[in-house]
Amino acid sequence: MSAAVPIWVAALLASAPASAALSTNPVPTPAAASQTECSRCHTCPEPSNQAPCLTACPRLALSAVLSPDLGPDVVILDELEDLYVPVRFDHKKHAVMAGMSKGCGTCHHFTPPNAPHPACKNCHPVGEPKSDLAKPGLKGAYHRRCLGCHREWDRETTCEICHEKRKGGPLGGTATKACDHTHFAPLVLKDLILFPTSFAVGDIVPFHHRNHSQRYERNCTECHRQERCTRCHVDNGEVLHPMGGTEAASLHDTCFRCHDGNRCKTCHGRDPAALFSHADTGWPLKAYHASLPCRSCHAGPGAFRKLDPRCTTCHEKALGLSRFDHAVTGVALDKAHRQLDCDVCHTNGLGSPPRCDSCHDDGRTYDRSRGFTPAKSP
Amino acid sequence: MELSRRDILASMAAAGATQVAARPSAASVAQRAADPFGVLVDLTACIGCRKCEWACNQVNHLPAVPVQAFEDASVFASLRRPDASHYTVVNRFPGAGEDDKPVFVKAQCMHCDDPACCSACIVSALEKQPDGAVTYTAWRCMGCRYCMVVCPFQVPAYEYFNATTPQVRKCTFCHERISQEGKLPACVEICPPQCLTFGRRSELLALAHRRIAGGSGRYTDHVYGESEVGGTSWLYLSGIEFSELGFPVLGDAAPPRLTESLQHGVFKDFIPPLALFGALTAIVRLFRPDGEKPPAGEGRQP
Amino acid sequence: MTGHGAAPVRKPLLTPGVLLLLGLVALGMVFAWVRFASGLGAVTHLDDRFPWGIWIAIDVATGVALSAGGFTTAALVHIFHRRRYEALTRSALLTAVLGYTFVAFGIVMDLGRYYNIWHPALPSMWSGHSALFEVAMCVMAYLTVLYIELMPIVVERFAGRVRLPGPLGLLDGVVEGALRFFDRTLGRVMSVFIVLGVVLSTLHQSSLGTLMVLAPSKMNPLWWTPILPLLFLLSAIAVGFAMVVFESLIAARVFGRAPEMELLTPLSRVIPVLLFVYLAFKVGDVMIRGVVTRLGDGSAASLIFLLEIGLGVVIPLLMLLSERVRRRPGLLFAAAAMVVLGVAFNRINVFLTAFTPLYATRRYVPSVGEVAITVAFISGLLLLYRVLVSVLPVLPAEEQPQQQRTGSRHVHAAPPSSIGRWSA
Repeated sequence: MSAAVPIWVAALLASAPASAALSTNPVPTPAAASQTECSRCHTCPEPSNQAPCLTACPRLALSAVLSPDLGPDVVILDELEDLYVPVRFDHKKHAVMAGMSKGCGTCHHFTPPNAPHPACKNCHPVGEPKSDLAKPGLKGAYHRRCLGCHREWDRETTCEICHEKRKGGPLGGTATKACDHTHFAPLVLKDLILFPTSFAVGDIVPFHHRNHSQRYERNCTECHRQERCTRCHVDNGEVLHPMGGTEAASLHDTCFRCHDGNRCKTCHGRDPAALFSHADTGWPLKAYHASLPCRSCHAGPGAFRKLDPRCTTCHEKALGLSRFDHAVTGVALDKAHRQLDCDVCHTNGLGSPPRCDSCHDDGRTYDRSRGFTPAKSP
Repeated sequence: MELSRRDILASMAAAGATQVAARPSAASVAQRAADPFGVLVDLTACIGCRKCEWACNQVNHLPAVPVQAFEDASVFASLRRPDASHYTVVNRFPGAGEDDKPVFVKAQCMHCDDPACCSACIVSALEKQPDGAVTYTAWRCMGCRYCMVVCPFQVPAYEYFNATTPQVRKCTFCHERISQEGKLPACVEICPPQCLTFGRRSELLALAHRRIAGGSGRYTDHVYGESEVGGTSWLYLSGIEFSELGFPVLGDAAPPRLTESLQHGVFKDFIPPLALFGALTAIVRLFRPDGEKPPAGEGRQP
Repeated sequence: MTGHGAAPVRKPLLTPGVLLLLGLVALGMVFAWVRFASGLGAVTHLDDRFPWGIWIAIDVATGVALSAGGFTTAALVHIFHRRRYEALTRSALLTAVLGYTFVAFGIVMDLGRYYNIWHPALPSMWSGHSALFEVAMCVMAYLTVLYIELMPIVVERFAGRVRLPGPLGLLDGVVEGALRFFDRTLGRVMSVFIVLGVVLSTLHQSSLGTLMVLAPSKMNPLWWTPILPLLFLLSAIAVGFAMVVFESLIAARVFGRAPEMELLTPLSRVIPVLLFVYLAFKVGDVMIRGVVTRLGDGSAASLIFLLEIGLGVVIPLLMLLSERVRRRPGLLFAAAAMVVLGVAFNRINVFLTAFTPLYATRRYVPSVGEVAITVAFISGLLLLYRVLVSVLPVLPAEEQPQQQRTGSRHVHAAPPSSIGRWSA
């Protein structure tokens, strides 16, 4: 059994004879190991080397949640090189998608505490797994990981969906170098989704999916968690599977992560044609502001939140007055006026009509509609 | 003189009987084998690629069909069974949930620990080998097809259109490969997701129970083949009930135990037949009516 | 066996009935040719789900059961010394000889590798755990015993009169010598063979029932029972006597003789007793195993089971309890026929009706070829019976049968001309 002790057991126990797989991973400290309960892996209170009484693979129990950016972008799988050209696996893309499902643990079912995810081949041997029947070989591990998800929406299980036959190889292929499958799964991004509900006042909740993902820059993972692949990938050209989690509670939870949940009519019964209007927030966008991207004002991290409507919210703190070009208001300031503080003219607050009479007593005025009325002749 | 003839006859019969009784039955061979091989099939990992069918055909010289032909998913429309030119077939069954993945089930000879076919075979053409395989020796076979009648898994198939040398055909467990060449069965070797695990049956059973107890919730608490008809070399793990996947619901008793106990009861050291013979002979002699000449004068002219 | 004065039947052989039988045999041989030329699949409706069809259920299983008259009458007359029935033994023996011979033919027809039929006899092939092995060995042995039992009849007919046609005449002396050898030796050991025949019959009649015990999960529980071998033995014993009555009455009718009611009436008194024992075990078995409730479910299987028991056992049992039935040839024939057909029905039910294989997409229905070959076997059996009773002293001599039975043991009623007619 010593040769068959799974890597994670060795890692957890931090035992002296580290296996080859271990050497590529930082060995966790005993302190880290002590944080893991014995019963996670052992079924008996006093496991020994001879009788480790292991549970089955702990899978998610030991998975850490790490950022997709920590992993490699592309992994070349080249263990079956004689028959096929290497498989180009877009790790980053899958890591992002996994974020909408079960996270890294979707594939990396084992990660020692305080360590990065090990590569598949760190634990799964190339060739037949003779020493430890419980652990599939690398071929099995790859295929189970890949096809476990892929066959959910892509019912094909032919080799060629991932492998390209090597030119002149035993299978009579034509390819000579790794192919770059961008993907065989059409991604369906709907503009508008109408959620039927049983709400009496308005039974339809229109959801502008593209707006949320593109205009409001919502991250997929903000809404999509624990999703099935088929939620986004067309299932063999057939109709999309029904949306996961159709219960009102789970959909509410998703929306309420950003939206205030107090006003039902915000969503229920809303005109599907009506896109978002900034005026609804009580702060209609005018002139210059309407042309700005949302992020110019809603710059902070997180959702688009209600901002302090005062100009200084942005113009003092975020942009700084010096960068404010008064000309966009239609009034270019001359050098003398540029020296003044804003409230010298705008005595009732920024944005309020300027008063000239705080300096000039010759009767000149400014009005937004009429512009300047010059001084009356003395 | 007459008595001695009878004695000779009786002793000849007895000699034959002892030899018959002394021949070990198939079951006892399997029981003696230290720990036969087996295969654990994890149905939750099978992707239905049918590469096992292709590999099986290659190794067993069954009709050579290009590998691409096995990518045709239309065969799943109807239930297929192993036949004379297909030792193993994969069938598709609906998954548990409405939009759940379908379940693919590989079918082949289960290689029972106490095989009814071997018990049935009149010429020991079917034999349980110590490595776990139930093998077929064509030159012994008479073609009575009793093995097909009794197989609880409906596996052996027959070459009905071979007029001269028809064979009973079924999975061989790649007997030569596993016992002499140290290789894996062809289907196990090729399986891309390695949902077939080859090993000692006892270890596979332990592994199967570890997986069930692992808490992943992937498996029903039933290792098919652990106890069915006395146990089989091939074992199955599934996420849904086996009865929904075309597996027959079978008891734990091995059918040969009943029939062989009946047979051995009737032929126990040939004593019951001899006792019957003796009793009837005694009746002939003791209850002979007066006036008849001994020996029972049959059809004889003086 | 000479005590009853049997003689070859002197009737014209080429009757329309015989010609019909010849035609049926010829038709069957056409299908048999196809079967041996192109395989079982070319003629039968057998497949991987239904490996056994009517050739096993009728030709073999029913054939063995209905040939039971040979050992039951032999036991009655020669072991239990009911000598008065000796007149019936030769006919029953011939039926058994022909029945088992055609069982062998049926097996050859059904075996995929018929040329290996001798394999079970090789010690290197012996498989003591197989019920079929036991059936095969016992049938082989019993067939041999049957032919030995038949020898005295041949000796009686031909000893001292061997005249082989043409050049074979040179062998007359050899054959004559062999017949004289049998004549000298067989008489001394015949009782051993008769007892042996009864023992072998007991063994294989029961083991034939063990065959299907090995497929419990594929059998309808109405018929599957661990005591199938016992039921097969009991029903075989019961049908043995019924078969003797049945064929004796048919022979009487066909040959225009008076039915031997003075023997058949007392003989048929034992049939209801045997039927009752069989019925008791059969009903008790269904009750004890708790499947009796299935009989009320209205399924086809339950109706067939009730039909088998009702028409094949209960009604003939009740009929044969009546002295009036036993005395009247017509009613006695009806009752005996019901027993015979009932046991045949039982064998067909056990081997075919009750057999419900897994994954079957259709039921087994015999093909035209299977039926034709089975009919040909039955026709051939009847034909051979008809020919052999014309050649050998099997049936009681017609002249004053009473007197002959009690009189001289050395009567040979067959005129020399009969053999000439047969060999011509």
